[in-house]
Amino acid sequence: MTTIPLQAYLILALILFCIGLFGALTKRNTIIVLICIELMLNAVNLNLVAFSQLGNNPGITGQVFSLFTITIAAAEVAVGMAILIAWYRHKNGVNVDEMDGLKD
Amino acid sequence: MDIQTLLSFEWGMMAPEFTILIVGILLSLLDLFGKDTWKKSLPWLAVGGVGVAIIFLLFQYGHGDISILGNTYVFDSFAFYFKLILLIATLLILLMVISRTVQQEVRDRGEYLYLLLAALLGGMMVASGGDLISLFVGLELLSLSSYIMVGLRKRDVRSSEGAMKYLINGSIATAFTLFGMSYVFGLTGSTKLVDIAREMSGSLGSGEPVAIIGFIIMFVGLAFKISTVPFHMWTPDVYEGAVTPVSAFLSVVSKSAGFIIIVRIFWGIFGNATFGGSDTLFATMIDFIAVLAFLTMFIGNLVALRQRNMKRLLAYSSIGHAGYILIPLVSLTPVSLENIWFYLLAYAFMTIGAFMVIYILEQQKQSEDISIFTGLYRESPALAIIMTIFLASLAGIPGTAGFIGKFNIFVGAVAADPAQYILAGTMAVMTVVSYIYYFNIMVQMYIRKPQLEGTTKIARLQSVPLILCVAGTIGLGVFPFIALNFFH
Amino acid sequence: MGTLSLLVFSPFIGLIALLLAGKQSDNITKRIAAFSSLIPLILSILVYAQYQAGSGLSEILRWVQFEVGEQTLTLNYELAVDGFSVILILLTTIIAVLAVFTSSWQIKQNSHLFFMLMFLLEFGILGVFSADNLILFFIFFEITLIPMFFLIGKWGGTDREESAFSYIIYNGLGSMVLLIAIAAIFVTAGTTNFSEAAEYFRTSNEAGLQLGIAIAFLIAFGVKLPIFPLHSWMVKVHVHAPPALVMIHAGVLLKIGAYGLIKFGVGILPASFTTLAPLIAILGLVNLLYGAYLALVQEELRSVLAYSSISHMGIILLGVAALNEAGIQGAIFQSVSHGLISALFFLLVGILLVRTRTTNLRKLSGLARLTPVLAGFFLVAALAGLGLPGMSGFVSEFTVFLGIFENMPVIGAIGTLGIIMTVVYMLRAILKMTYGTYRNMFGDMNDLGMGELIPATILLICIVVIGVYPNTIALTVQQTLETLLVGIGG
Repeated sequence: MTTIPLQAYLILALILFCIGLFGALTKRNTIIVLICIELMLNAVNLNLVAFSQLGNNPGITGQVFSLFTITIAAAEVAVGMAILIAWYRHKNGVNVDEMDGLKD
Repeated sequence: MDIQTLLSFEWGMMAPEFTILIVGILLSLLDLFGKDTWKKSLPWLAVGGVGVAIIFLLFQYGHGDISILGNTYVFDSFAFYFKLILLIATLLILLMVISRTVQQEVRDRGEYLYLLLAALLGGMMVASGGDLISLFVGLELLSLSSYIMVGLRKRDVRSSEGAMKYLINGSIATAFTLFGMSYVFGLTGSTKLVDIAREMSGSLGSGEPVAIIGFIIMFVGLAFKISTVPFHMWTPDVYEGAVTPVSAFLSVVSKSAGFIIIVRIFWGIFGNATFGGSDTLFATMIDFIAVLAFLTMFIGNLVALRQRNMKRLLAYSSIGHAGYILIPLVSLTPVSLENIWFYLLAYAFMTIGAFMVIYILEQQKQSEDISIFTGLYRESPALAIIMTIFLASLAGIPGTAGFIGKFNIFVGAVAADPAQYILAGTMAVMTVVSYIYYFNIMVQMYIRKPQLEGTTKIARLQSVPLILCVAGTIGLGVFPFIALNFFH
Repeated sequence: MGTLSLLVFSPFIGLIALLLAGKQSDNITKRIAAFSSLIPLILSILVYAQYQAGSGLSEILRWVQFEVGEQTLTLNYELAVDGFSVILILLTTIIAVLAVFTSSWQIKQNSHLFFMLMFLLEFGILGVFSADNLILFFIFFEITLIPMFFLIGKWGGTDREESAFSYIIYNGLGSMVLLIAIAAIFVTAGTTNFSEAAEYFRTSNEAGLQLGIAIAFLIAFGVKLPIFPLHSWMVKVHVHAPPALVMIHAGVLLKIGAYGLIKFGVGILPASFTTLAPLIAILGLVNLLYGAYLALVQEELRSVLAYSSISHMGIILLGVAALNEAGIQGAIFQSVSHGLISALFFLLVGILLVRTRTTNLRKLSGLARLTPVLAGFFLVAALAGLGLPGMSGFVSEFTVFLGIFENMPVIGAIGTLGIIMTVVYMLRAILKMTYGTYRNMFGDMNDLGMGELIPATILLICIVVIGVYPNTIALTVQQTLETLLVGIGG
């Protein structure tokens, strides 16, 4: 079995992170924005797991960390959806563009 | 880990946290299942809980450093002093919540209370976190509770919008922080701060660029909590959308927690990491933070000039203050920590006080525009004078806590090696810029005539947080040595 | 608590009395204010007497300690006076009493708040002159900003709010520059006590830093004095603030600039000030001529007086630049003398405003016919201002030029041009008002009443006494002057 080098994982994670960031900043649909944020968090998980297996001082800590990250990401999305539903009741839509009630 | 080691830990050190936790759970249960008649006394239970936690904490004064649970929970003087700020600020905010006279959303009342306590618990965990995981979980507990608190007025479209913006910005920032943390973890193979610091104090070799990327990404992510550039844009929107006590909470407790985690991580880890053979990694990255501090002071104070909504104005002013507090972080003198602590304490009193005055007026006049202050001296001289004290402190006029805080930072910046004259100069100029908008409020209060003749009364409950904040602001301004000696 | 602390905090008696009395009728408020304004005056005379008797007045109290590395920086509450400050303190309390008296007929609205702010202002000024370390000085200096801001903004003329903001911005910037300089001194010398800091800088050889601090001082006090490009706020304040306030502002507040330049600039950093002397001399010359020229073309009496103040402050700068006994003595004399003269002027302006509601020179003429005493006082004040022998203005200008001719004869020669211009603009403005045909625009006017005559006479007596017996001041400041001269090495 050929081992995939650590760098490959890191670069994949970096690409995922950037795609997620790009999406979060440009997409108009709030749900897609939330999904993009999930993508960013998953890039972190990939990093953590790869490091815990192949990095310096391999151990289990990284995997534990990624479990925490997954849990909290879930909580974040849950809260996000709840707020989004409240917002949907006001505007009948989920577009980020319409969030312009608060400005200077 | 067997039962023996578990019992050998000094659990007593966590008494303040446990108190908050128990009271928080109790509040949520009582709010769910309790009789309606009980619900009136729930806020007092919360105040009592925080009070007891403060007393527990004070008993730990002078206690030696201790770390339990495999170094994930650390008690040291740093944790002690900063937890004190968090607890005092939350106490004041709870008093602010209690004092409200307009009962529009009575049903949400209990929720505010235990969410506040949950957020406070997160902040305290951050103060005592000795592990990246516990720091992160504490920070998220704070963040998630804050998101809900901002969005809790669900019938108000502004509240939902603010909460949504807060959540999106906050989640992106979290992703940044975590991404940085993952690199730091990758370099050292550990999440415990002590181990990371030890690993990094050796030569990083080819890991140096990764360490720098980790540093920058993590700092950018944490900038969100303290609302400095580049993650400052949410601040005015969220402050405007949230109820005023929550805005005060975000402005004081949340920001303090952000500074706590920054000091913990960046001084604790990167302050020890060697870079290029001689300097610490932190010392080489000082310019990066200095630029952020400069931009933050600049943007916060200049944009505040054209705000008419009081909460937005205070939001931008809080951005400016965050910039000031970054200066001691950069100066790296032995007094830096003391300066950050003192400034945050002073900032807590004066900001909560200012929000309290706005809260009183907002409930009476149903507006957040700067015109609520028009002719206030006629309507209520006492309230006008109290607001003047807070504004003077925010502007840094002698005799108030804000002046001593700013002066400390100033001396620290000039005493630093190399001396940060540019930052000190920027702070000086921006202080003068801030005079314009703070004094503009005073002009409204004293010089303009009120549109409608009327009187503004301060209810008895409202006067309690006001008096405490005035006492704190003036007391720290005239007798700063009490707090400074306490810190040593 | 020593006499000096008592003096500094004595304005609080009036403030608290007013606060306790609450909103009484105007008459009672004014009476309380007038009586309590006498307390600082009495105490300041006591301080003056004690100083003359040679008893020590300094006080010290521990306040804050900073530990920067191995260095411990202590910050104390310390008060002390020297010859220069004791005279300025006396000047402050005298003018404050007169200002409170005169404002009682000028201020119609909210007199309660007005007097409270006046007392707060007096507290700040007394503190500035009694402070014995730079930080305490700075704190009191900042405290004067707030009452001034409100006094201008609330009771001023047409552009009052704009003037108030311009005041706060310029002075805020000035004080921030001062704060940087103070922080630098604090960190390098480890102290901010005047004499200790002076001692430190005498032996240290950080010339670059010293020069930087000296320039910062020049800018900071240049705003207050004001020096030429930084003067626009001061003209606005002169024109738009209530005259009773301008008595204090022009009479005492501007002198903080002179006081700071002489006491800190020359006192703490004599070496750097010797380097800067040519620059200061040129700035002084610009002030003198520019102020005089603009005073010549103003159509508004208060603007004439504002620019005349700028011009007179140029003389102080020239005296400082001379850096010899005569020069600095002249600068001190000029501070006191200009304080008295401008206080007299704005007392008269206040009296005039109550009657005519305008001080526009185009509208005023022939006052001598209807109100001969008022016109006479104006003329005497103008003569004092242009430096007629026998008045205080002459002594000070003469000594300054004595000093400057010794060191920089060319500058002195050009400067005399300014003196000639002073004569022209003063007489032009005053003669235009007092002589000429009387156009009955303002209805019947009463001449000075008793309440107006007495303050004006008191100021006039002071001016003449200093003019005839300059030793009254010279002897008091002698010792201070000698200390300064030792530093310069003269």
